[in-house]
Amino acid sequence: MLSSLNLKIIQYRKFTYILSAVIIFSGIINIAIHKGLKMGIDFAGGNIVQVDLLDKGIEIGEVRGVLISTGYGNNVRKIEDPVKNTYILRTLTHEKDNDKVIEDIKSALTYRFGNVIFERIDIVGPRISKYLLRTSYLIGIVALALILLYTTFRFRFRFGVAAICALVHDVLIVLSLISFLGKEMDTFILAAVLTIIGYSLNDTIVIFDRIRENLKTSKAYENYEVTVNTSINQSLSRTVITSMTTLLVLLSLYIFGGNTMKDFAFALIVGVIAGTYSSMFIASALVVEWHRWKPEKVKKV
Amino acid sequence: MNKTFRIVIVLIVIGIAVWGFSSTYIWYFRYTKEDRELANLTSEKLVDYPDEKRLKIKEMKKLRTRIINLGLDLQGGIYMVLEPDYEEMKKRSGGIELTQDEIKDAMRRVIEILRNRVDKFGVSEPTITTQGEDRIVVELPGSKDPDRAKNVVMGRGLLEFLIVDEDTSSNLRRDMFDDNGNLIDSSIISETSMLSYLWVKNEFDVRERQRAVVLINEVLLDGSSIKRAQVQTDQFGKPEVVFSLNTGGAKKFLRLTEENVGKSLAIVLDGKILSMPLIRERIPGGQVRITGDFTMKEAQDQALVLRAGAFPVPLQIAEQRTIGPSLGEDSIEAGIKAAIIGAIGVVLFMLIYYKLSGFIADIALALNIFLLLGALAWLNFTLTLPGIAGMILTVGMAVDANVIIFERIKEEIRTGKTVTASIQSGYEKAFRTILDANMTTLIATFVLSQFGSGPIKGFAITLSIGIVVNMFASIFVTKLLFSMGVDIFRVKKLSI
Repeated sequence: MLSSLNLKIIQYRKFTYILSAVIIFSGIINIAIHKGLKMGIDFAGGNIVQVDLLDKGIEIGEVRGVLISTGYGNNVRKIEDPVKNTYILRTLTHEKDNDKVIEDIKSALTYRFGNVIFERIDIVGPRISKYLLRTSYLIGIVALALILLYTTFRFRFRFGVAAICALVHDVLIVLSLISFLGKEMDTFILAAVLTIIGYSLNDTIVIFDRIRENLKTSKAYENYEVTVNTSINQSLSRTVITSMTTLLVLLSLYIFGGNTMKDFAFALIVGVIAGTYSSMFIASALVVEWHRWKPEKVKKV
Repeated sequence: MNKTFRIVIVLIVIGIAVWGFSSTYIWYFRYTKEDRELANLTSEKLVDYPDEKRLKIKEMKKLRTRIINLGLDLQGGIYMVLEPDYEEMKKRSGGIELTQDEIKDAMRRVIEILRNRVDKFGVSEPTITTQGEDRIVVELPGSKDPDRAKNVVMGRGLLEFLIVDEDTSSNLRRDMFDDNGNLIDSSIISETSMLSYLWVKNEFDVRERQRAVVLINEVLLDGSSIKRAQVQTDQFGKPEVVFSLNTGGAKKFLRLTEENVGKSLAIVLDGKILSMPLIRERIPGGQVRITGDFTMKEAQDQALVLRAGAFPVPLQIAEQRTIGPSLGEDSIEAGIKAAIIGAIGVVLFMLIYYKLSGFIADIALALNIFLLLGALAWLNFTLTLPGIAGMILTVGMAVDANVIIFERIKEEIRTGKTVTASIQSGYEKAFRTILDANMTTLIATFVLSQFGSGPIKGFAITLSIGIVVNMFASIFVTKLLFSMGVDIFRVKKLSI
């Protein structure tokens, strides 16, 4: 059904370029204004006490007051939960004795509020966080390199580059949105980003496969742009449906999956949407641009 | 491959998965919680139980190697990374640094001591491993009382005996200390003395500083002189830790008590003064009793820590994640709920959009999940919250293969081919696309799985296995079902 539509995607690619550019640039500016992405304790180091105050009447101001009295700052955040009165207290990391910091905070909280439940305690020391940060950059680079290699091997170099551009585009969109919403960057978000890379690539490859198949006849080859456009349209059904089923599942994770998974699910949702969009409008468009610059040598497959 | 052969393969694969999964089912739903905890203990702790019970536990232990474990974030517990406290070491050794080898050696001994402590503490399935050059990773899952477990692990076991400097101590006044309990002007403490604090439990059972005490800075006796440590109760029934000193230690203790009759002895554990008994007379027996408002459990833990010995190097916590059991349970509930709702959504969608073919795709999806769980059970996999997320994502992406196939079949039908021919060429054309697409996702997950962090690894592995299993279920099995269906029902028009 959807295949019978003949959207002039390639023909109007300038619009999609502008849309992407706007989102990404404003994201980059936003990040620059805040001097980088907000980092979670995984990458910045720090200590976290997640406490469930059984008494619903206590407000965040009181909790912040307790933290201030321990001398470890005032970083307190309330967790959005319809049932529980839960807060996350966060301090910077110290060179040593971070467990003492935790003990002090815990005794201050029990002293003030009596019986509470400590749901989660996290300590990430300075060395570990630096190590995680370094490793993350490495992983990102390795992943992109492997993907470029594989795509070049299965298709052609230009397809590989176009695919990588689409991926980088997706990652930038996700990071921009995360920055706009003030969410923190931690190992979960990193895992989400890597998953999005995998998913987006998955999507892009399906379309590239179609393009390659359709380009087998030399007649199709002469009308390069039209052929690419048709390929995208032919894959439209599949692309939309798969995105929908994946989004359905991710939405379920976001709504029902509990607080710990919310940000993770959110990043994935944004990523899937961006990934679908980039496969259809960006990756293929870039292949066309490259062809206009340097026409493909006709391969007799 | 003819049909019968293919059917046999599918049945065998399902059988293996069922076998794997049934073990998990029996473990979590047929055995009681107490039995499960018993099965997690080491054999020496079980000597007291009757024979038939021990046989049952033995069977359970065998079963346990074939189930899906729950990770720390699902059952609660502690994850700690310990590293040497280089600063403290420099202070103690007066600026001399240990060599790389000496540190490695020391850490090896630390692992031995930790294993000893943790074993006797009776935590289920503790894991102690090394990480990098100088780090130790300790995982204590299912800890109902993470604080207690942490104290057993981190208790440096440093026991020291010092004499109280009565003169300087009696000169201490409240106004010499700031709001946080620290001394403002430290010049009143002479070079031969040091400031310490008496730690007493408050009404919430948390130890806090009660009083500042000045001690003569000479360690007269330490934990290396301890021969044996046990727990006893005094005449009031309060638990106390009793230890006997070795010959050298007993001599030292005798001299200590002889020379300091009338003074107070500070018994310091891990830098905290626990008690300050008055020395009334010389004590020759080499038997020391520590009372310090312990609970029975605390006394036992303390004796355990003293018995296992102090760490050869001071350690600090580089990383720690503690999840309380309530959060773990909530997470499991939430994860399963999200998984079921998501799966139902996808199943309904496929049914509505692709009709009978959608039904076949749904069967493949169910099989996919089933095989995934079976594979994880056989791998004795530890499931974490990201792992559940990985499974949920697999559900969403699993139908993709079928969507690609079905769209192709539809196209083939539109070009006028017969039902059987359309199915055949649809599968053929789709296969290459599916393979390529899945390969790239696998690359991403492979990279992720190399990432040090445990839970993320779990996510990557669940997703990878899910994809591999997906190709079997969505391609091999559905094609079989299509062929069977078309033959049996002599289909002329495909419901797709």
